[in-house]
This record gives sequence, structure tokens and C-alpha cells, in this order.
Amino acid sequence: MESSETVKKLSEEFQKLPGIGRKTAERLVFSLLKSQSGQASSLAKALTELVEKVKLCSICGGITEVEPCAICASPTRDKATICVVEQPLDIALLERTGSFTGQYHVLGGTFSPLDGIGPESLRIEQLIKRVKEGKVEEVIVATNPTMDGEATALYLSKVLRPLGVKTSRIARGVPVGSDLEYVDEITLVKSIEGRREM
Amino acid sequence: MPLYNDEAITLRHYDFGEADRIVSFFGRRHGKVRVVAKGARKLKSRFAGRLEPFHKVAIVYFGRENANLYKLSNVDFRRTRAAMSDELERFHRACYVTELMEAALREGDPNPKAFLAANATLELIARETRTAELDWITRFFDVRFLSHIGYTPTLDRCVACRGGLPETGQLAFDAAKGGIVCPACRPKFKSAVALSAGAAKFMAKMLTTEFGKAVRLKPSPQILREITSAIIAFRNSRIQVKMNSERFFGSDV
Repeated sequence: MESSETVKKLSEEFQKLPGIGRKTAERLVFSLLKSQSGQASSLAKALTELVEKVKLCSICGGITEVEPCAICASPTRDKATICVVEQPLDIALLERTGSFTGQYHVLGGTFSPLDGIGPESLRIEQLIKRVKEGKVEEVIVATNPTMDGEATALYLSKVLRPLGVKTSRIARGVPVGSDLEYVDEITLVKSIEGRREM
Repeated sequence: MPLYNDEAITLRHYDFGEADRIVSFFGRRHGKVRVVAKGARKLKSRFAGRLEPFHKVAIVYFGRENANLYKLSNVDFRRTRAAMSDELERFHRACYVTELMEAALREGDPNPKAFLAANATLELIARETRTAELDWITRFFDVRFLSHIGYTPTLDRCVACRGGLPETGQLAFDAAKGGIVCPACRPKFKSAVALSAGAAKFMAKMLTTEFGKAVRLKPSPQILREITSAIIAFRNSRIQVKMNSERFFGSDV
């Protein structure tokens, strides 16, 4: 496999991607070499287009090819509600549910004091600006339910409260289709605290 | 392959591969270990919610002896500390405690006393909300933890001339030398930080007071400021790793 410098280089590039080790990278390169139907050219074209066309929306920070993104530009989306997420990928996940009709705001991560990541490293200033300038009534914080995600949510609630906007947190509880036997104690406590009347 | 059982504090975790996590634990019997928790990021993982930092857990893992990375077999809560993220000041202090352990502890080097000190500190932090008290608990932890891993400052005599220390007046603490410098030796140590005799006595008391009674010691704001400068200088000279979480202290909204 490594008799060609080009093959070696492509394999090394694949290995930089998450979840891809040496063997998988070599399999991918081999598969592209074997493909007859222009798969390699088509992949190269898609990658070039990805780099040239795809950018981050200047308003929400989501992935887009036009400025602003389709969600921010849509007249049918509820502009009074903003859902705050960690990564652009989270927008796609929430959109797949079809249950949220408001707008989004990508933070670009969460607090991570051990890595020196604080509020200034995230898109919090941009969120505050959106809340101040727009007619936002509610901000839903949908950061991951980790220690870092919870601390970030707490910080957001503290900076947004003085602006007179309602701040809510996505619910935590037992996943659909799971078994109570395998649910951890903290999740169970949170699910009981967040119970709803039927 | 040997199976290991331990009581541990979860220090931190990193995403690994598609759905796995590498988790760093400080175990009471086996010291700091890194383990792979397979599938930990999947919704139905039996590990998922149990791998967050600061909790005290019971872990079962396996792997070759003295391996760099073990595999996690089971984890159960012994003491949950979900309240750490309910207050930012508390969260930053807890992050600092785990960061210092990550930086200072060697893997596979058991240190039950350091484990007990860390566990007691996290327990105190989880119950505290007042900034001054949290500052004090953090510094108390620094002194005790550094002492347990082999860095005990010399506080009962001059670290240079080995002579006794005056009961009152102005002394100094030289981090590189590792202790108190008397007024006569002070001119030879330009980088030493000022420390009153009262603060020096207080630091000495920190080495012997039980954790349960630490909160009742309560130094005055002036003494806390003095011992904080001395302890940070001492820690930096011994650990030589920048503590990222420290810059967030006092940054609550």
C-alpha cells in the first residue's frame, strides 16, 4: 500500500478524521483505487465543493452555503425562540425531529476550564447581541447534559436573565425504549424532579 | 488478564473513536489509571451518565499489568456530586482539583492519602457556595495534596539557615527552596514572597488539621491572601504545569 507517496498521503489524510485508524484508512484508499465508476473523482469534487461553498452562517453559526442560512432567513420560523446548541451538527439532529420551529444559535462548544475554554472562547457575545437586538422571548439551552454542558447552561441563564428573556433547559430523563434497570441514579433523580402531570 | 476493582474519583474524559470515551480515574488502591469505556457515548450505554467528573465511583477494569490503557468493565456511583455544576464558582474549584490531580499524579502510583484528601475536598466543595470559603478549601487542598505526593514545605524553621523563626513580624516564603526564610536570610532570596509570622503558623496548622475541621479554621482575608501567594508559588515550582482552570476563579456572573 505504501509504495506510492500519493497513496500514503491520502491514507494519512484519512487517518486525521475522527474514528479512522490506519487499517480503515488503507481500506478506504484501496476501495477508491478499485472503484470503476469515477467514485474517486466524485469524492474529490465533493470535497472541493465542501471547502469552497460551505461556510458558517454569520447569524446562528450553523452550516450553510448561502448567507444567512435558510433557517435564519425563513419568514415562517419563530424568531421569538432561539435554541442554543453546542455544534452545527446538533442543528441537523433537532431539525430531523421536526418539532422545533424557532431559530438556532451555535455556541461552538462548552466551558472546559481544564482546557482553558471559558465564555470568551464561545459565541456567547453574539447570542447576547441577538437577544438585545431581536424580539427574542425565550432561549432554550440545549447543551449536552455533561458537567461542562450544565455549567455553560447555568452561565447562559445568568447572563440572559437581566435581559428579560425567558431561559429554559432541555428536559433530562429516561431515554425512550431504555430499561430503568440500566439508567444511572443522577438521570433517575432528574427524571423524577422533571416529572409532568398526566 | 487481571481484573481490577477500585474506589475512584473520576477526573475527566475524552471522546475516542466513534462512540467510546477514554476516562481518567484516580483510584484509592491502584492510583491514577486511564481506561477505555466502549460505547460510552451511545444512548443505551450502561456507563454513560456515570463517567462525568468529580463523582466517587466503584470501578472494575481489566488489562495487562502496568498497561497504559485499560478497558472499563463496570462503573457504579458511590457518591454523586451532580451539584458541582449548580454554581460556577463551585464548578471551577472542582475542575481545579481534578486538573491538579491530572497534572501531578503518575499513572499506576497508589496514594491513598492523596485520594482521601481529594475526596474530602470535593465533598466540601460540593456543599459550599461562598467564594471566600471555596478559596480557602482550595488552598487547604493544595497544601495537603502536595504534601501527600512528596512536596511538604518547610514551615517550622528557616529553610536556608535552619534556625528558628520569630513569633511575630515579617518572614518570607521561597518557593524554589521550599519553605520559610527568616528575616536575616531574606535578602539572599529575591524571589521569595512576603509572609507574616501569623500566616506561616497558619500554613503549618494546615498540614496537621483534619479535613473535617478545615472549614472551622477560617483564616482572615489578609492571611488567606498571603498563604495563597505562597502556596501558588510553591505549587508552580514543584508541578510546573499551568493550571488552566485557575484563571476562572472569581469569574461567576
